[in-house]
Order: sequence, then structure tokens, then C-alpha cells
Amino acid sequence: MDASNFLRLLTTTIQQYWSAQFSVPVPTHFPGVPTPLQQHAAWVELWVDALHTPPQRTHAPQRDEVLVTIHCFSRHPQDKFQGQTLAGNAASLFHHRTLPVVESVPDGEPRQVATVIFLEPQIRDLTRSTEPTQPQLQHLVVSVQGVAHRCP
Amino acid sequence: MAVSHITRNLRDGELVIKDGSDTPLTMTVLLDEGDLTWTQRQRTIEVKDRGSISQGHTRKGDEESISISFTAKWTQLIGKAANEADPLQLYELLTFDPATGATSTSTAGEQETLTLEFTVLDPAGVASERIVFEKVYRETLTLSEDNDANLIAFAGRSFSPKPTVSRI
Repeated sequence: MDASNFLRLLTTTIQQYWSAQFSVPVPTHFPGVPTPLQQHAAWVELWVDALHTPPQRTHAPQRDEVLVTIHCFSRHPQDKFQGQTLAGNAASLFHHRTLPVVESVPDGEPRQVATVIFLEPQIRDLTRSTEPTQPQLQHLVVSVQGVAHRCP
Repeated sequence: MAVSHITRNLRDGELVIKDGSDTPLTMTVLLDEGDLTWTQRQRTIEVKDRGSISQGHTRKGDEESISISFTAKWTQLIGKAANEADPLQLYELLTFDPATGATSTSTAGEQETLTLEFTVLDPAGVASERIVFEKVYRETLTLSEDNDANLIAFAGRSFSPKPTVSRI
């Protein structure tokens, strides 16, 4: 399976997992999907930023390194820690999590093509109080690396 | 001219381990790190003439066996030792687990040995090579944890002065 097809399946897997598990009632913006956010006090953006294959034998089962980034935004007027709450929830969803990457087969059972294992997330606070247009906007970023093991 | 000037690297290599059975048990090491290393030594006896090298001479010393090492990512250690229907695993082959039925490539009474075949495919497709190490015995087998993957590190010797290199 080429990298673009695999990236599509991997992104679908992560987005479906996120949609099913992220329970904080704020909207999620997925890349390429128009999401009206103007009326919301908080939201998250989920990106599969990088897919990298480290040096390996040509005939070895392929292993890919994956980077998922979740941007958490909040401009809630009362809850000044909503950004941290969103980031903490997002991080816990990926911490040491193992997900099967599945490909749909027409008229057949779905086929598992890989297993992705996520490592320890990193949370960074990029909030800038000097932001002129939105001085109350909190911006926290959760980065989590994973390793995708392709099925033989 | 079947000579290529394209350099080769770990992506082009493949390591296969065989035992000494009539129909050898064969295992391709799929998760090796691409760090196979071997050293061919040559011993020389220096005979100096009253301390002088210019007046001295050299003689051939004893033959030396080849030192060889490689590292592989660790999945499960045992396969056939747990269930005969499971595929053979690297650890149990290297340790001659009785459940594998692995047979030494040396005669009975000698140290248990295996054959290692290292194939390096020419990216240009004209001058691929196979390097065969006979009678490889284990000196150390080091198993370790790591952040990326746990590792099995093999170090041993091939009881021959040099490997057999052939074009394939």
C-alpha cells in the first residue's frame, strides 16, 4: 500500500476514534472540513501532521512514525482553564493507546492493514496575552507521536 | 560490464539464518536493525633483527576466526517453543531451543553453529552479492529494553578465516 493510501486510512482511523471518544462538548475542526466556529467559546483542531518512514530494510515489515497534533482553543469568559481541560482530555485519549488501522473491502469483511501505537503526549501552552484581536484566547497544543506497524 | 558504481546501504541487505538440517530450517531476520558487522583478522608475527624493523621480517601468524554481530528488534522470544504451529522466532533459533528441532551445522560434539547468509542486492540490478558465514557460534546474546523497540543483540564468531562471497 502506498503512502497516500495509508495516510488516508490512518487519518480516517484517528478521526473516527477521536469523534467516538472525545467527550468534551466542543466542536472539532478537521482539516479540509468547513466548521463554523465563530459562535463557540472553545474548539479543537485535529491534525495528522507527519508520516515518516525511518531507514529500514526494503523487505522488512514497514514501520511508520506518525505525529498527531491537537490544537485546543478557548475564549470562554468565565472558565479560564478550559484550554487546559481540553488539552488534558485530548492527551489522555492518546496516551499509550493502540488502534487498529482498517481498510474497507467492497462486499467483504474490513481488513486490518496496520496497528498504530501512540507514545507519551506533550502539552504546550502557546497562549499569547498580547494577541491584539483576541486577547482572551487560550491556545494549547497537544503533540503525540505514534508508530504504525504495517501488517505483513 | 556487470559492475555497479551505485553504493549500497542497509535498505539493500537481507540476513538469513540456516541450521544444519538436510532441509535447513531457514529464517529471514525481518526486523534486524541493518547493523550487521563483521571483522576479518589477520595475524602477523613480526621478527625484528636486534630491535630493527628495517632489518627484520614478518611471518604469517595463526588464522583467526571472524567476529560477527547484528541487532534485531524484539517481538516475541518464542514461537515454536510455545506452539508447534507458530512460526520460528529468532531467539529460539539462536539459542537452539529443543522445540525448534534446529540442528547444528557442525558435527556432533562440537559447539552448536549456524550459517548466516547476508545478501546485498545491487540497486542497479547487475551485481548483487551473497556473503556466507559458516559455522557461526554464539558468544553473547544481549537482550535489552529501549524506547523505540526492545532489542536482541547477537555477537559471535564464524569459525572460518573469511566469508564466502559470490555474485548472484
